[in-house]
This record gives sequence, C-alpha cells and structure tokens, in this order.
Amino acid sequence: MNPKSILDYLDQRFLLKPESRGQPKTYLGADIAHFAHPYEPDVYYWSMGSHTYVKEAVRNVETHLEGLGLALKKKVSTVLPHEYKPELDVSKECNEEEVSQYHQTIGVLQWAVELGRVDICTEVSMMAAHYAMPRKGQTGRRLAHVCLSKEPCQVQDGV
Amino acid sequence: MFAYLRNHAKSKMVFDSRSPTFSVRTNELPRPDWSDFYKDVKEQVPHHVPEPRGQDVELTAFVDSDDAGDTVTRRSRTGIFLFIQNSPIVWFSKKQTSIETSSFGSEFSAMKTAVEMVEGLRYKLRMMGVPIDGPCNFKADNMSMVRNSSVPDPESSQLKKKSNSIAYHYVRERAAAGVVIINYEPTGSNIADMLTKTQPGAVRLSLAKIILY
Repeated sequence: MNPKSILDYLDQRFLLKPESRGQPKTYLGADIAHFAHPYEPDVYYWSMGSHTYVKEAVRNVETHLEGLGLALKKKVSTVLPHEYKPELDVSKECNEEEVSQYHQTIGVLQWAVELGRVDICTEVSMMAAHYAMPRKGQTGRRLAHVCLSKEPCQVQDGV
Repeated sequence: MFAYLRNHAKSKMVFDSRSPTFSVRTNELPRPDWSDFYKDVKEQVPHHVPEPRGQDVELTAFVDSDDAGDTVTRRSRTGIFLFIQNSPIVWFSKKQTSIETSSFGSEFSAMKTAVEMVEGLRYKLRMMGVPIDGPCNFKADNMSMVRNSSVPDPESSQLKKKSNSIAYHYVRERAAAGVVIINYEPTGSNIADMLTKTQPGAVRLSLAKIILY
C-alpha cells in the first residue's frame, strides 16, 4: 500500500507540515536511510544508524569535560582502557551528583547500543552493572577515555 | 568509551532481506534421528495462528559465553546475536545468574537463554503471519557443547549438576523438535564473541565489520 495516498487524504482534513511527508529520516534518534549494498548496487535496503545521536552525545561529553579542563583522547583503539576491569575498581564511591551524571551517561550509551552500536554492547553492560554504586574510577577517565586538555592526548589506551 | 565512539564512526546496520550468507545454511546441515530419545516430539504451534503469507524467513543465532569472566564473582557472560535472514534483530550481552564450574556449563546456560529467545521470536513471527523456513540455525564455538546437543548419544545424557542437566535436556529436546539446529562456528568468525568479553581493538573491529557498515 502506498502511504502517500493516506497522508494526502489526512492532509485534506488536518493541516500537515510539508516536510513531514516523505521518506522517514529519523526514528527514535536513529538515522533511517536507504542503503545500496556494495555487491548489489541496484538493490536498496533500509538501514539504521546512530551517527547523529552518537555525534551529539560525544559533543555533550566534550563540552562537559571542557569545563573541567579535560578532553577526550585522540587515539583510542579499545572501548575501555586496556586491561581495565570495572569489578576490580576499589576507588572512592561517587557523590550524589556524580552518581546522577553516571546514570545519565550510561543511559545515553545504552540507547546508542539499542540504535545499533553492537561493538560497545559488552562494555556498556559491564559498566551498567555498577549502576547502583558507581566509583570515581569507573566514571571520568574510564568511561569517557579522557586526559587533561593540556596533555598531548596521543597515548593509546593508557589511563 | 566516548573517545572510542568519536574515532570509530561506522554505525550503520543494514536490514538485508536476502537469504543468510553465513558459513553454513540450515538446509545444508544433517538432521539426526532423535526418535530413540524424544519420540514424536514436535514444536508446539498455537492453533489460532494466522495463515502465513509472503517470503519464508530463515533464523540464525550466534551464541557464546565467556567462562567465569567476572574476576570477583566468577560469573560467566552470555552473548547472543539473532538474525532474520541477513538482518540483525537481537543483540544481547548479560551476566549469567548462576555460577558454572565449567565452560561446558556456561555454554549450555547461554544456549538455553538463546533457545528461549528464539522460541519467543518464532511465536511472534507466526502471530504476525510470517512463514518460518525450518529450524533456527544456531552457531556456537564450543565443540563439546555442539556435539552433545546435536548428536543423539546415550552415553552423554547423564549430567550430575541439576542446572546443567536442565539446560542440556531443554536444548536437546528443542533440537529434536526441530526448533533449532546446532552447528559449530570457529571463534574467529563467531560474532557473539564480541558480546562476551573485552577484546583488542583490531579483533573487535574485524567482528563488528561483519554487521556494521
């Protein structure tokens, strides 16, 4: 069935924004688009991406870190710092404000996984296990992979 | 994590409706005779399902577990990927609720969770009138577990630990009923591997490339 005819019918009775009619572009934060497969360029499939959502999330974190005089590392190859095990972290417990920040960040990351970032699924699940009582070591440096903004930020995966 | 996300932007998941292009297809696998163990066992299909219409779909599941991966509690982690045709539908990574003393036990626990998920998905698809083409093709990288759940063998049906025994018989019965068919997938190409443990960047990216564009 062609959805355009239904939208045209609705448009006769209710005023619809012109840009609201057409191919879907976004759904629940995901980028929706046609995708031409490299091996079959004539055939199109639907694709779902999280690029816009992730870009905005990274921008928010960068802004937050900037206020603290920190920045994200430039070269990172692993999701969590190498050899880091969140369950072995015995650093000081977070205060209320930090806990709230941790919850927000985990929520953002969990939604990124829902939108298709399967490559960070395990690490997000590992960090989310400490949702009830996060520790200072599990936030900041590990969760965001940060270093002081004055540092050159070129070290790979070091904490 | 955010530094990683900024540097690795590939995030597009494609809903490819072609037949699965994974290593072994369901119709290429041998169908063992389970009648000595589970006589006449069949998948239960509700009587009120609508008439299936359209193209048949094939289900594929990749299953893995990280044996005792948590260094404090020694709980294992289950990783599951479910595909309808070539489209990823479910990705799941969660610590197991029981503590297993062997990789055989943790793999079976993961397999039980995956079979439960597949049963639910098959029911849902049937209720939506989607025809399902044969059993779900399960791919796992533990040879001992694959052999025990895909070959009818009277010697291997005795297990001492109750939780292992339940998972074992549950999976075997579903295999006999034609809900699932289990075969071996090497660790290097088992994409569920990335849902069970932290990995070096290159390994993670090579597995993620199979799904993300």
